[in-house]
Amino acid sequence: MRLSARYLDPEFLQWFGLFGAALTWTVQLVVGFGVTVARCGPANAVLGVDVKAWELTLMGTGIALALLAEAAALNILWQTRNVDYGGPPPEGRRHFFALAASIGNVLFLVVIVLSGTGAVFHQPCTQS
Amino acid sequence: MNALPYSGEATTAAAVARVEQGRLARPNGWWGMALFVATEATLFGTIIGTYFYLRFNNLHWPPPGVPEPKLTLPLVLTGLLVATSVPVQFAVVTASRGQLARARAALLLAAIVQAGYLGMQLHLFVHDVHEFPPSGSAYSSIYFTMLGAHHLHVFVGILLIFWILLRTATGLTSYRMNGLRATAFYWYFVNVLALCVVGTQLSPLA
Repeated sequence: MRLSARYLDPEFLQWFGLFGAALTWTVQLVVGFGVTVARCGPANAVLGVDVKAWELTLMGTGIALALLAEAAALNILWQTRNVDYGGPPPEGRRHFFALAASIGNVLFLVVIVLSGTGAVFHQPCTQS
Repeated sequence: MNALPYSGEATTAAAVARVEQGRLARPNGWWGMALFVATEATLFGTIIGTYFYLRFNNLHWPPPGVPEPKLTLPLVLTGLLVATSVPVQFAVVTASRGQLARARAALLLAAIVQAGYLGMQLHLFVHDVHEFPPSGSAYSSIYFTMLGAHHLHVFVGILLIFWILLRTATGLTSYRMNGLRATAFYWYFVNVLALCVVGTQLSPLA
């Protein structure tokens, strides 16, 4: 089955490749912080928040999205392989973004894994 | 000679349609609105974050004496509001093809529904203020801050749509087309915001 052309649009792939992994890490951090606050607050007596389950879910989703963002960046890099990164827009600009994204996404993937692993093994509600 | 007119010289619907078809990048006005929306998203991120911070630090939410939020009416009203994205998008598409009359009719329809939504929401807001005043608890304080800020954004969106309706009464120009695009972008943002706000408002029922 072919994916809809709308979602394989080079502009969509370019922006998702560039920002997808970075935004995923942001969401992982912000939601993770919120979950910890919920776990350590008085309301946990009613809510019963499981920090590890939340963090593992966030890390798993984050890894999947970061890999998709990397795939999008590599796709654009391949599509624009005959263009110089300093070439005229949109192709030259797209190649430049894809080059930056393909390197940056690897870093964000590592950061997502390290953040998630740290949060899972961290003992919540104690002063560090 | 270039067949496309310079966008600033496109002062008829037909010329605007030709400019829109040949456009390679989004206009600066659209990017300006994108930056504005980013700052507004930050504001609402902070408000919603505050709501949940307070919720996690209180055993009872809403506190005793404050009624739980109603489920049906806010959901129906939000559904109506989000549905107005359809005529707004229709207006953008038809205007970019030079069909101004259709675009203005769609905008008017959207504005009427949006005004009805805001009227109903303000009625509920005033009713709630009398039932549990903002100074009564942390819950009521953040509840009214969040809803008040959202209603204000809906009001601004309606004003923008009426402004576009007034401006296009004398015809379509490239400048006004850019204004319509920017207004539509703002409106889609307000609709996403409405979903986040109503989700937060109804979260105690989960």
